[in-house]
Amino acid sequence: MENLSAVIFYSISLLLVAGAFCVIFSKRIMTALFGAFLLFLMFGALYYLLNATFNSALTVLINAVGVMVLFMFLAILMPQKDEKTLWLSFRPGMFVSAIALILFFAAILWALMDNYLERISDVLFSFNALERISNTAYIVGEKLITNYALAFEITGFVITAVVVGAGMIGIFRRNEENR
Amino acid sequence: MSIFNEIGMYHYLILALMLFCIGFWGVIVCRNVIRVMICLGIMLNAVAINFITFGVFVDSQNLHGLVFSLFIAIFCAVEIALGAVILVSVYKYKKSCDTQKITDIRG
Repeated sequence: MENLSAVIFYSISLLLVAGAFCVIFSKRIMTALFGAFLLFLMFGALYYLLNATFNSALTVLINAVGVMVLFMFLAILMPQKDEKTLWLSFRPGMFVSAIALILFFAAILWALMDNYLERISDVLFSFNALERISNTAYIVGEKLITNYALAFEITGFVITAVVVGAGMIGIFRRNEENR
Repeated sequence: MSIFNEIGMYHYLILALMLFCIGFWGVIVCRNVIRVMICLGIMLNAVAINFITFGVFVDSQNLHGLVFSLFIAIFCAVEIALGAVILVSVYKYKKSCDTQKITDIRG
């Protein structure tokens, strides 16, 4: 059982990293979008592996379906003759940032492994710890309407403001065109 | 070999770190705005993995991390929707979605 969990985890991880590299390195934008679709599906699978079922469903519905459809329409509506030239910017900053990020990765990894070797608590190392939690969607829903009710309401206002703002940008643009 | 067989909290954290770094590098090097927005989504989801991992492994009674990751998912969608509207507006004038050409508000 433990080995099966490890195999599933490593498969999902591999697909996640492959999808992320596909987004960056593929020359055609449609291939990048396909990589992103795979990536967000795998994010959902990883959340499901962590017993976060509600988050998994939300990620698949919002990111893998909604956002991808939006991006696909954007890619179709914008005829990109220079699709291949809009690939990567080979500037010195690209290599400097790559080195900086590798150093950042190594520093955090070193800190994590240092902590790992001390083995603070066995709960953090056991996959079976996850099996004790059941019905996370119920707990999350309960938290949303009790402890986080105010944050939930504010989020609703922010989304409304974004929808109105997006509409206003479109209206201003149309007015400028009419002038 | 138990470090590879026994999947625990640290494996998820390292995966999230890798994805965050890849996403950040993508934001820096990609020239297409659509790719940049997808890379921002990767970074936000990598942070959400951290929240869920800590919520499940450390705070399994209250699951606060899962609630925070829900808010992250919502704001990720909002950011992408707003970014798409701005991109369409900018494309109208610039006829391009190249990040190196959209430099009008650079100081």
